[in-house]
Order: sequence, then C-alpha cells, then structure tokens
Amino acid sequence: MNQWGFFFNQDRCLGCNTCMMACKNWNDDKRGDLYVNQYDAKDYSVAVNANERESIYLDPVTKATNYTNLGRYHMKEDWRRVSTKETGSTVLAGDYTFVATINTAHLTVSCNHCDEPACVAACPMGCISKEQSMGAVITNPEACISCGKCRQACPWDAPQYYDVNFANYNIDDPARPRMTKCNFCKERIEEGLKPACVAACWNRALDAGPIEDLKKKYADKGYIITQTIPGQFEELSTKPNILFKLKES
Amino acid sequence: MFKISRRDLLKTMSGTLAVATTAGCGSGTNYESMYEVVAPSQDIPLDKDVTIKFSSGSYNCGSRCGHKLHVKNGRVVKLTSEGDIPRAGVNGVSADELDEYDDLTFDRPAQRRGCLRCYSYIKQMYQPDRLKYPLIQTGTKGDISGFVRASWDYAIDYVATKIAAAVKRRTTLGYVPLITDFFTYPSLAYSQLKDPQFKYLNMHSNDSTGGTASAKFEAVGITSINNSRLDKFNSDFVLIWAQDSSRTTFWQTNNHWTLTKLKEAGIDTVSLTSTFTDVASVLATGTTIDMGEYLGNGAEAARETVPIPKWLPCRPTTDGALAAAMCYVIYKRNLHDVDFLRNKCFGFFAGDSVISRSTGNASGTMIDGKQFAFPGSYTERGGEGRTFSKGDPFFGAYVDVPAGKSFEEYILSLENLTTDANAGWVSSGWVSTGGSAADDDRSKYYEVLGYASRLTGVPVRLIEALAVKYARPKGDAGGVSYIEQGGGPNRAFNGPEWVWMVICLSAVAGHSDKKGGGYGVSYMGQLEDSICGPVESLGSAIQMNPYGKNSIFIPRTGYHNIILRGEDQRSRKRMIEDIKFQTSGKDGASSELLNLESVASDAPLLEADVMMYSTKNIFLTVANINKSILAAKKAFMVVHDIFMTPSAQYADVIFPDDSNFEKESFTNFYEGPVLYQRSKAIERMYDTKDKNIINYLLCKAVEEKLRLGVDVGNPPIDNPDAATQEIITKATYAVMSQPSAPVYKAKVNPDYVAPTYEEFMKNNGKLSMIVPQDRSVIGLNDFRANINTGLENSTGRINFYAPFWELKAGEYYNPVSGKYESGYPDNITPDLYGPVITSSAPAKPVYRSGWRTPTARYIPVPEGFERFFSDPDLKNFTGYKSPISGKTYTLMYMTNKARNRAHTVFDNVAVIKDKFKQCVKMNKTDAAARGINDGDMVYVHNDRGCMKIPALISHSVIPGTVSVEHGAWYRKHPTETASVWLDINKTGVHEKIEMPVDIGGAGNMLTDDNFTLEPLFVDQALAIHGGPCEVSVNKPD
Repeated sequence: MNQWGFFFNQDRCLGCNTCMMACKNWNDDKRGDLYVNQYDAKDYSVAVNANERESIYLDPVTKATNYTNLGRYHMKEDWRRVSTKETGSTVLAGDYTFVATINTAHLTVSCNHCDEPACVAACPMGCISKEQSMGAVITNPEACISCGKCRQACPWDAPQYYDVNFANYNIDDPARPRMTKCNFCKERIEEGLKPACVAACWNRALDAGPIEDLKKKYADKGYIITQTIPGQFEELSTKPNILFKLKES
Repeated sequence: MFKISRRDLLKTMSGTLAVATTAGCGSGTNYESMYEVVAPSQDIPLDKDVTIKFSSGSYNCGSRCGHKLHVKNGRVVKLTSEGDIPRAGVNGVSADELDEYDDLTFDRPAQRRGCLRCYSYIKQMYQPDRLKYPLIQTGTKGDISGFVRASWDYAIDYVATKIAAAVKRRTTLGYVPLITDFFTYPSLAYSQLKDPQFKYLNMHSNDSTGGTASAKFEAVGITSINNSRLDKFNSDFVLIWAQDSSRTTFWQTNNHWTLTKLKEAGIDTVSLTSTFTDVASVLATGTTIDMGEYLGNGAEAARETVPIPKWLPCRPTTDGALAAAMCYVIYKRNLHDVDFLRNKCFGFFAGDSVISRSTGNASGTMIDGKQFAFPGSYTERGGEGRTFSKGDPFFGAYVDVPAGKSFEEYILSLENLTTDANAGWVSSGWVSTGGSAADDDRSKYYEVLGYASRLTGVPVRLIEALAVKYARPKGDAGGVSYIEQGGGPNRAFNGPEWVWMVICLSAVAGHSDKKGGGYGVSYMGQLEDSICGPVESLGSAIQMNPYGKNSIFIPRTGYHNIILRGEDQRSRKRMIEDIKFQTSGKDGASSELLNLESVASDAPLLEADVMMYSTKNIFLTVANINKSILAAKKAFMVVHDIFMTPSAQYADVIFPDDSNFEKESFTNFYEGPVLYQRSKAIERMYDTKDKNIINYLLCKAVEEKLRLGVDVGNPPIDNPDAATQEIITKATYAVMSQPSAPVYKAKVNPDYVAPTYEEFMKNNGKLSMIVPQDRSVIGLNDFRANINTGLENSTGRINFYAPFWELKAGEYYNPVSGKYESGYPDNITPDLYGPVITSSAPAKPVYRSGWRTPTARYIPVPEGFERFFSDPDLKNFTGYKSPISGKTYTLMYMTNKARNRAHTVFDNVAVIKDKFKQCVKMNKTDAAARGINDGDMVYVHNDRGCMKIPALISHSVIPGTVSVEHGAWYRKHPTETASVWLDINKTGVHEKIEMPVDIGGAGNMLTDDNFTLEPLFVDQALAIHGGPCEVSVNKPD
C-alpha cells in the first residue's frame, strides 16, 4: 500500500476556511442528513408560488428572515476543521500607546488517516476500516449505531455527526445521525485529481500525496518538516499521516 | 457549531413531508428512504456524468476567480475553482507546468482560486429565500407578511404610474423628484438622452475608493497609474498599510498570494492596521533599522538597531497623523529627496512656484474625454494676471504657494501646536544642517512625535524607526520602499487627506517614480497589474456619464437626509450653488428650470417621491440605518434584488432578478485585464427577469403613460435562441476584451494581440494579461527626467499644495465667530488637529462640505480620538462626551471586513454564517472592565443606534476600540427598543426617538452619515469610519 497523507504549511495558512468550505461543497451529497434536509426535492422545483410564503421568509416570532429554515440545507459535519491559537496580548502602555505581543497560528485538520487509527479500534460495529489502495480510513454509515466511541477515541474529532446531540436519538429513530468523516476524496484521487481541500487551498498551504513523496518533496525545498505542532497537534501513538512546516514567527 | 434540537428536527421533517406531498413533485428522490437515514457510502467512484461549465464569481468582493460548475440533471451540483486540475505526474502533466508552489516569477497567470465565499455560491443560488416573483407591499412598510405576489404586467404598470407621476412634477419643480443610482439609470436613460433638461436625484459616490479618487484628483491626477503589482518584488521594504488581503482583495485577486511569495523571497514587510489581521500575523515579517546613522544629533549618535515588529497597531482614522509624523521625521532628519521635491513636486517648499505642465485643462474637457470642472477662476501671479475659467488649459500657467501654505510650513507648524510652553519656537537647526541640533530642537521634535504617538497609539521610537526605514530601507545604500495600501482609512471622513498624505510620504522619500516604489495609492483604475485603461466611472460627479450627466448629484451617504429633510449635510446656500453648477453648461443643459432660490426656507429644498435602486442592500451599505428605515417609510421604494434583504423588506415593490447561473454573461472588474465568460449553466428557476429587461419594460411603460415621443430602443435579449446568443456573446466579447489592450500594448508588450473569441473560448472563457516582474510598469516612469512629462492635475507635478482645492474651500465651523464659514480656517487658531469641540460648541462636524485643506495635512474626524480628551495635548482622557445626547462613550468602533461576506452579500447563507457568527470583537482589558465574558450578549450603542450581539474577546483588537464586521444584515428585535438621536427634520435638531434594537449586528447602525466631501467633483467612499460607542451588558437608558 502506498500510504497517502497531508502536508500543511502553517507559515502560509491565513485561516480563511476555504478548505473547510470546499470540503462541504464537494461532499454535500455524502452528509448525514442529506435525506432529511435536502431542498432539491421541493424547494426549487416546485411551481412558483407553491411555497407557503411565511414558512420561507418568516420567523413566526421575530418576523425576520427564517435563518433556521435556511440553515437546514447544508452539511453540518465538519470533515475539515480550522482552528486558531492566539497567544500574547495587546495592551495599553503609558501615553495611550500600544504594546502588542499577540500572535496567532492556524491549524487545519481533517482525518489524518492514521497508520493505527484509534477510531477503527474503538468502533464496536466494525464500520470503520482502512482501505488498501491509499490507506484512507473510511466508514460504512449503514452499520453505525451512533455510539460516539470513535469520536471519543480520535484525538482530532475527525468522526463527525450532523447533530452534536447524536447520542440522544433512539436507535430506531429514522433521523438518527450516523458518523461520517473525511474519506480523503478517494474518488477524486483515483481519477488523478487532488482532494477538494487541497485543490481549493486559497494560499497553497495544503498538499496531499503519498506520505514518503511529501517528505522528500518538502525536504528538498529546505523545509524543516515536523509531525507535531506544540500546543496544537501533539505526538500521538496513532501515527497520523500529516506533515507540518511550522509557522516561523 | 450549528445545533438542531431533536424537536426542531422532527418539526422540520414533518414540514418536508407535507410540502413534498402537496407539491406533488418528484425529482427522483426516494421518499421512503427518509425513514432509513443512512449517509451515502464513503467508497464510491467519481461521478463522471456531469457537464462542466466555466464561470466566475461576480459579487462585490473585488476579485474575479474562476469557477467550474459541475452540472447534472439541470442543476449545479458542485463548484470547484482554478486549483482543481489534475495532479502533477498524472495524465502526462509535468510538475513544472502545474506546481505553483515555488513560482516566484509569476511569468504566467496564477490560478485565481475562489475563497470560501465562492464555495458557498451554490447554497446561495438555491436558497429558499430567493425572490421568485414580483412582490407588492399591501400592508405596513417593513412588515414582510404584507407582501403579495403580483404579475409582471401589474408590477411594472404600478411602478411606471408612480414614476410617471414624479416626471409630471418636473414642470413645477424643475427636476423629477426621484432618487436613484447608477445601477438603475437605464430605466431613466431614455428620457435624459432625449431631453437634456431631464434631471433627477442621482445618488452619487464611489463607495469603494471615493476617498482615494478625491485625493488623486489634484495630487497626481485621477488617471495616473501606480506601479504594477509585481513591482513590489523590486522593493527593499514594503509597508502594508490598512490592507487585509486575507479577507478582502482591494481589487487585486491573489494579493494574499503575492504577499506570501514576497515574504518567501525575503523582502521585509510591516503591517500597519487597527486590528491584528492574518496578513499581520502570517504574511508580514517585521524588520530592523540602524537608527544611529540617521540621528543627525551627536548626543544620540550611538548606533542602535531598532526592531520594528510585524504589526504596528494604529487607532482608526488616525493614519493620516501617522503619515504626517513620518514626513516630519524624514524632513527633520534630512532624509527627504530635495531634488525630486524641488523639480517634480509642487508646494513642498515655502515659496514654491511652478509653470504648469499639466496635460489636462484647467477645466472643461480633457484630452481623454474626461472633464475637469473648475469651480471658479484662478488668477495667476505676475504681470499677465490671467484668470482661468471653464475650458482654459492650465498648461503654462504660473502657480505659486501662498505664504504659510506649503507642506514644509505645515510640518514645521506641528512644533508650534503641541504645548503652550513652547509656543513661538521656530525650527532652525535640523533642516539645513543635518546635525548639531540644539537640545530644545530635540525636545520640540519629541513633543511633536509624542503627540502623534498618543493619538495613533504607535510608540515614538517606532514612528521614528518606521519613517527612517521607509526612507532608507537599505541604510546608507538608500533603497526603495513600496506602500501596499488598503481601503479602510479611505472610507472615513478624513480618508482623502490620508490618501493624499501617503502620496506625499512617498514623494518626500523620493520613491514615487522609482522601480520598486510608486506613489503609494491603490485605486480602482489600477487593478491586478496596473495596466488597465483609465476608468471612466471615476468618482467625479461631472464625468461624461451619458446616463447621469444632467442629474442633481447628492451624496449616497446621506441620501436619506434628502428624503427626510429635503437637504443633505451641506448648508442650503452651498447646495443651491452646487446644484446650479452641476446642472449648467453641459450639452445645452441649463439650470434655468430650477428655482431653488425661490423655495420657501421652511420647505424642503429637494423633494423625493420615489426611490429606486438595485442589488445594493442600501440600508446596510449607507451610514445610519435608522435614518434609512425612517426614510423608506416616507418615499415610494422600488427594489431589484435576488433575495429578501433587509432593504427589500422595506420596499413597496420588489422586482426579482435572475442569477448568473441562469444566463450567459461576462464579468471583469472595471477595465481590469481579466475577463471571464459566465456560461449559462441551468434554466431559469423562477418567474424572474434579467435586470436590463426589467428596466426596458419600465421605460416602455412610462413612455406609454407620458407620450413624450421617446424611442425606448430595442429590448435586450431575453431567452434568445442559440444562434442569437452566439452573436450577442461574440459582440460582447469584442467590446469587453478591448479596454486594457492598448494600455497593455503600450506599457508591457507591443506585440500583444487580444485573443479571438475562439481562442478565448479555448481558454475556457478566460482572458488574463500579466505583467512579469522583470517588465514592471512604473507608473510615473520618465517623470523625473523629462521636464515635459506632466500629470493631469492643475500643475502637472505631484501637488503638496493644490490650487484647485484652494478655489473650492469647505464650510467650516469657526469657534471664534461661532458660525459656519466658507474658506479655510486660517483666521482662527491654527490647530493642526482641528478645533476641539467642547460642550459649548455645536454638535456638528467641523467641516460640512467642500475641500477641507488646500495643503496636504492630517485632519481629525469629527468624533475622532482627539474628542475623547479634555485637553488638546491628549493627556486627560475623559471619553467622548456627546453634545447631542449628553452621554459619554469611552470606546471607538470600527467596521472591519468579514471573511464570510462580500460587503452584505452572503450574510443569508447559513453554511458560512454558521461558522462566522456576527459579534462585537473587543480587547480583553475592555471586556474585563465592563464585566463582559466571551460569548456574552451585549449592547453596542451610540447616539445613532443600538445592537445586541455576542461579544468575542480577543487581543487582536486594540484596547479602546471594538470591531463590528461590516455587512451583517439588520434584524430588528421583536420587542426591545433603544433611544437614538436623529436629525430627521429640517431644523437639524437631533430628536430623541425610540428605534428597535438590531440583533443582526449591522455595523452601519453606529456610523455617522453626517460627512461628505464635495458632490460637485468627487464624492466620499462608504462610511465605515470610526467613532464613539459604548458596550454594555445592560441595555442603555
């Protein structure tokens, strides 16, 4: 197997979240509530004026645009997540001048498709597996019982549910959220494309490929490559397939 | 994270089923599967049964990025951007061709990758709140449940009746009492083209770069272009001033990417902003400067390397003061470029004189067809005593700087203004000697910087270091610096003066005409690679705009004042003068029909029965939302849009536009060298129409009612057959591919030939011209060497003193006389930072209209940080004491750009709004002082409005300032109201009234509409400047 992984240049990441949005855009038809909250079945193909006006435009209490209603139609699972660490401060010194020691560093993580994935070990139903062509960790939602053990086991919250209260649903509730997660855009990789997040990365901070190739490619550029980011991505035994170039200042 | 409760979910589900059943529409979905909710398999092959259509985003973010629309079964199912290409090494593609990672030369077009806004485009286009058919308000304005569906025929006729009634009033008023803007001008154009006397009220402004346009007009000439974008790679130091490329492009797609490569190329950069942005954090590098070489003073001659951090926080609206202080440091340290200032600039030195080499005329039509209106006459010095009036060329005119009005005198006057103890001190030592300054000189010097430091928040040592670094980035070897300018400060009351100061700063250091330098200003006319042609739609109200040339121009910021009070910010006398000048002397138009002088003083000067605008969401883009709401209730309002925006909610009639998915179109941004074809991807979804069709139908209906004998022309094509579409598309391409070509040929590549339409389509409908780094366009190239190379301003040189502005002085408040007077405040105490408004002074801005200074200088905003102190030296902080409400506000607001919006666009798109909740961002120390914790719901309020939003605590905001990101949609609280003070009556007195609390976080609840420059020439930008506010856990009294 030619294990694939991600490369993340923290020195370029602007925290723009385009990777996350591109992921949601590409994988919208793989989200957990697709059959519950899709609009293509009704909202735009119905005859004009067939929508009840108030249900679309109005919140019955505030009489404002029904944002809750609009919020039904997108992917709630964050297969890719961007976080920001803020350090230091900006304070006022004497004479109303500023002393700024603030700094920030962004981190974008999806699933690291670990060599020894904790989620696979934690799943009582055996729905999560490591496929063999590129080492992607993929799941079979059909057998998922929404127990959340995979999410507890994963250090990076890669297993996702469309409703964070997934554990409150009855097992036979038709709306019970099943776990979904990053599948490395396997279907795109197979066709010679890049994962959606990498193809979209606004500032070219993300890359993906066979992990050994990535190590060589970026070492050849003179980068110091790490596998952890102190305070943001600690060393763990699952052997995640992600490489970093740390933010320098 | 977005949360759905179980109860909501079940409710949603039952709703889904109910509608699906009653609608009886099937689209292949197996409804039974709803009872077996299982996410689709993770292991599926790529769906190749899709058609790719190439397109581009075209919202007002300033960028144009490439889209690939994946279309299946008549629906856009996915969207990817230009980075979505095969991997290197696959399908025979080499890494060299595709890997941009180390591409430093930019000798080929970089991919224009969309950001998160583009990636939410599908969700936006298919939103359920798309406007689907014409709506007419039958209930109370603002109550959305009062809208009912109307047929197109009925809606068009309804609006045409109102417009026709307004047109009929022209016979008594002399103008049509209708307010509109350039987006809706086609609906009125037919009348104007046929009848030069046709006048209506044209909301006029350059929302984005109005402040820059104002400054450039006389400083360097409006059509001057700055150095090409990649020329910054030839710089030794780059100062990124108020530019956050991680959120907004300021008309340069890929600007963030360019700055990234700049950092990786090892060129030092410093970010100067009011908030800690991702550009400051990630892209800026910080730098160092050896100050010892430039002390010019024996006592401090020890060599010292001063580190300049990557982020220099500067208070909102004080940027101009910092630029003034930097000029002062450069001058006092003898680092200014005397040769350049003497020979290619005008007005720097006292006693400067020049024989104009202007390539434009003093007034009348310029060589390129633009107009320079001259507001009066200018009598040149010397024996001839010529008077210039409309139409006279300025070339050859003698111009000199009046005593006391040179820039040199201005910056030296700073020394007289800081403390009383040193009043009367005269600078002598440093200027000419370059050393041996006396102790009192040094003391004075540091007092000047001390004041600037307290005002801006930048420590004295860093002001000095930054100034020296900018002037001498390579130390003894000199070097060249570049200023990467953003747009924020230009959208303030004192925006034009800031931009002018940056132009001056660059000229003082002698960087203006150098490779790697430039004059420091970005403008819409200098997109992407600074090669586009001159921009026709510049911010001059007297431009040759065929659709609005005879209109009465009113500033967009403050349009509501016309509806509410019949006057805007200007005095009535000034308004009458301005309107008469605008409407006379052009193409046979005359102001004779206007009898404004005879309007009774207690009657409104201007009336507005109908208001019409399109896709502007104007409530949210214009300052003072509460005034917009009240104005909307007074005039008949017509709106074009594709969503039920907060502005549309207050309309009488809403026309629904179609989307770019549903038709063939092109997009570029002004005359920029990038052009995209947006392919039609899907069929029209609703009973909507193209905006141009709507305007045509409206013109036709009005003509049928009035029988003016006007030919309304041919209808734009709607739903054309394929053959017709191709003809139109080719013809459109022929027009749109041309504007940049001559400039590109002249400046970059003499062999350039614009691609044919077929070649264009082979490139997926994209045209892109680039300027390689090694062929930089230097905006003012040859300017220094060639005496006959003149600019298009009045003197042909870079103006530190502007004769043009001398003739159109503003109205200012004279605290000595206690009245508003016209002119420049030379006869009052020369207070650099403007007279401090005290409790006894009126609650009005210092300047009401007109140009505020003929000499480049910093001026304060009316509610600026200076007003937060009880003393002019800024040592006793009291907070801003509003003379209107009597309240004290201790914080300033600012309105940064949001990541998830392009101005107001996308705020109704849940997929990104969920990730970027609207909040007030405040410093931890300010929050702690008010007992506010992260996530608390708080009230942000001032005299103009009140909003209730969550607090986000972060040190990325400077203490004393809070940030409410611009563009969030207004949403009124169902029950809560707050007191506001609005001057909505003709008396100008601010009335205390109760208005709803906004829970959407719309920034313009707080902003001040009471500012403008001169609508006669150039107008202000969007009003998002800083001012006082307070944040509290409890609702204000």
